[in-house]
Amino acid sequence: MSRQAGGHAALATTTGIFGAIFSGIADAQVAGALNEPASSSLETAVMAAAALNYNAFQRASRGADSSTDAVQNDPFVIEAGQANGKAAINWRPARDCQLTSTCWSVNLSVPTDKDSEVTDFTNLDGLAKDLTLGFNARFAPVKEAEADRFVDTLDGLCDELGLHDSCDNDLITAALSSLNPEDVASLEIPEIQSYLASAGATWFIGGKLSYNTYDYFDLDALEHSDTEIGANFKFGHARTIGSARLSFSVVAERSYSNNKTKAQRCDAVQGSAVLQSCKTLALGAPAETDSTKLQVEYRFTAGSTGTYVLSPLVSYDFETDVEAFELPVYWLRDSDGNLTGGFKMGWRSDKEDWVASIFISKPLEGI
Amino acid sequence: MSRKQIAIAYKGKGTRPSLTIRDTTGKNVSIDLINGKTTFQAEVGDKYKLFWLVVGTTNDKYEIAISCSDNAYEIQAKRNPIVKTIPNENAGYGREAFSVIRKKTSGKNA
Repeated sequence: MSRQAGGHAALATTTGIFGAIFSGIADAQVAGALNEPASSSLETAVMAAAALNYNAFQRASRGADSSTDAVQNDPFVIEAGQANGKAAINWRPARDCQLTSTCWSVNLSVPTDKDSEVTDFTNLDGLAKDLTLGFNARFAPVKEAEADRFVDTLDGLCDELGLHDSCDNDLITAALSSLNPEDVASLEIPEIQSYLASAGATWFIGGKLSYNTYDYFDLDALEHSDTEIGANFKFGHARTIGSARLSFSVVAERSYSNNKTKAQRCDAVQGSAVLQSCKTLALGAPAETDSTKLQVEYRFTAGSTGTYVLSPLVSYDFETDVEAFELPVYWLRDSDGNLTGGFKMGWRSDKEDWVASIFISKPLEGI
Repeated sequence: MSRKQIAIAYKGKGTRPSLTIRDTTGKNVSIDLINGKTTFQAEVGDKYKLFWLVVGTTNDKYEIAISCSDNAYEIQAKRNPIVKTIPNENAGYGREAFSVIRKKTSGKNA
């Protein structure tokens, strides 16, 4: 009970700290790359400040002599860093993502400044361009009661097979191979398989809001700057089928993009009769694009040791009535061995043409 | 003999494993999750069964190790750490019996 109450109070305070980070972010800039020495960058200062304030709150709320517990039992973690061309602040539960718990994270990100080691989330004009607030959640695949039943079943099965000290899926398979079919049929193997299917099935939701400003000229050569907030929301379901993973999702999105046609306006430089200063911007207001896509993806391994992962994706956009097909083949790995790229082929009904390319992406997760 | 914190540490990719600890009577032991470890309190002579389920990607390795947090007691188990590879079903599971024993030091018991 006390832990629950503490958790709620901590939620409010973590939000407060998060807000404080946002409001003071003009001064507290996120800097440096993830692989830089921690002491050399201000990002560490942001993380340390957040952790310090938060732990201080935890200690205050639980008593001064519980400082050790405060470090270990913080219900939430705030992390900051740079990766994949973005500086990000991430907020998530400190406890690990379990099969019987819902996992979520909230993050704020902005593209890194290529010309500087420092990336600002705000500037004198307000929020930084292309600032994105996102969230993701994966609901618990199984309930506590189901997990308990699985343990009961596994416990009984291990004992029945005589695997008293060590028992696992490999040892069970080996033990079953020596039994006759009647004996195997009397064991609770289907219950185990059913639970594994549940554990490999999950619902997920996610979304993001993207803040951006778009500068452009109108046809009278007047300069405008429009602020737009794009939005993206998705929900879906994924499940394991044997060694493959099938998922479907609905993605609704409103996005903005600058007109590709550029226009140039040249004005006389003050004090000079011959010089001109020219500025190039998009011609016309940013285009607003809405899409609502249904996507179905089937991801599976190929090759004897899972060398390749194929992930065919079929989608249909209800707004534009466009069908699309994409077939990425992952085979390039990063230094940690994660699949992170390969080649892909794609087709869209509006273009009616195949496109092939080599790609690098975020490390592939959860086949 | 005082109770000490026993930690079940996990190394591997993807979602953390579902872990359950049961004592010899079959009763679930209350566990806590701290920084990627599952912990509980135990003393010398206690016997437990550790159950795990790991859902991940085929062929990924995972490792589960049992230890006394301040190294005061020893853990006796047939396998410790438990090092496994996730099979084609994308889920690895099992049970390991272990007991908490008195730590042996040079020539005499602690």
